[in-house]
Amino acid sequence: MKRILRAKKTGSGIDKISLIPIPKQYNPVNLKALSEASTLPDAVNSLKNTEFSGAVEALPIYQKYGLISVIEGALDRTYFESDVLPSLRGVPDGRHVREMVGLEIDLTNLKTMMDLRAREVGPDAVRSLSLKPMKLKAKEVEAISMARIDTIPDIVSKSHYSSLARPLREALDTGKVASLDRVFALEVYKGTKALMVRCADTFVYVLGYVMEAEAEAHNLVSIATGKELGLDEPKIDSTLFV
Amino acid sequence: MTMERVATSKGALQKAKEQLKFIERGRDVLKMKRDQLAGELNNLLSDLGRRKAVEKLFADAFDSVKYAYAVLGFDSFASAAESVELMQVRSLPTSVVGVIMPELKVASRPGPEQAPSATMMKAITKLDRAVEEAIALGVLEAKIEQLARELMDTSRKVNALEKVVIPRYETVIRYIEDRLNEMALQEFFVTKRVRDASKVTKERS
Repeated sequence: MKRILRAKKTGSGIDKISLIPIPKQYNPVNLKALSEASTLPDAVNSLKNTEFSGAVEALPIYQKYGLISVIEGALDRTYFESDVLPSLRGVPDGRHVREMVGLEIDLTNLKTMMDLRAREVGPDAVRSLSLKPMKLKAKEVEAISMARIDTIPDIVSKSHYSSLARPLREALDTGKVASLDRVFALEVYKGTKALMVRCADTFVYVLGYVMEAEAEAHNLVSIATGKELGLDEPKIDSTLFV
Repeated sequence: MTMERVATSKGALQKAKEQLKFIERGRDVLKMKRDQLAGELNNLLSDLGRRKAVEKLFADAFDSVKYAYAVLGFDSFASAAESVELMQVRSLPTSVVGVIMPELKVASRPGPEQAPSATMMKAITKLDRAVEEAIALGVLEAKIEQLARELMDTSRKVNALEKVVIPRYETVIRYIEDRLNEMALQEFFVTKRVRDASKVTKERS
């Protein structure tokens, strides 16, 4: 969906090969209608009667700021709140699985809010796009939605995710904004690993293993791409989720 | 213009002198144009040193793009790139002493903030700046090329006028003047001989 909407935004063509094939029964939206819409607002409006209708509500914010991140934030929120969290009911070892998912939700939330604040999106819009926090406190979400980008690490340092504050501060202070995506992803994998160690004989270990496999696949792609592009070893290391 | 074909009359002399005057005026105008073109060229040449800085910007941007490509992988990279609009440039040519100079103006920028990830945002910011500088440098180089070509043409014209056309006209004028003097002298001599002859005839009768 994100891929199609990004292409719609700039009016570029959609290469069907680049879309991940999803069997119809698992597809909650009509991707064909989404692809055939002439503009991004038309495409988003075609989601009106689906579970991703939250994106339609974010359309006025998108039209105000012209940022695709707004629509993507709304899609993430629907994905986590309407898809992932309800599906956790009845899952074995629910408490730990919820903890793992909660970690990803909170970090996605933090990342989205930071992204939007960096692009100078107003506090109201940031708040309306933020996810329901799990271990973050409501007042922390409120503070982040109003904060300047360089003060966000200070707020994070007093939250449950205080270990994230230092790498965030480093990335902002050294101007290595590009490493922000990796900082969040690393935190997710680090948290998952800790949970796997704590719960080595439970179902959450299986989920953690899948996430580790995902990180490993990413690392393989990064190493292969880095080698192909002639990046040196420290540079390749800095792209890895280890 | 060979001397055999030159009409040796006062009218031809007058016409040749007028043409020479006109050519000399044209030469002066061309000289002024040449000086102005040389001045413009000199002003632009000092900016050519920016090339190294632009190359560095590109190398830096390319590093960032490579990093983003390695972090995101081809699929995500291509998808993120699609959310950023292309840079649009408008052509606004101007004229300097009759020479059409290229001028490009960035009408709309890609807007790095459109990128859905910080990695891409950084790469696009750098690439955006590098491309904008490269456009400015390209325009500068094209202007220099145009001016240099025009300067060469104008210098060639001035030289041709000074070294070939004007001397030739001066020779022609000199030739006509000499011929006219010669003819005047001949006429005077003939008149004198006729007058002497008629005087002798008068005395005899």
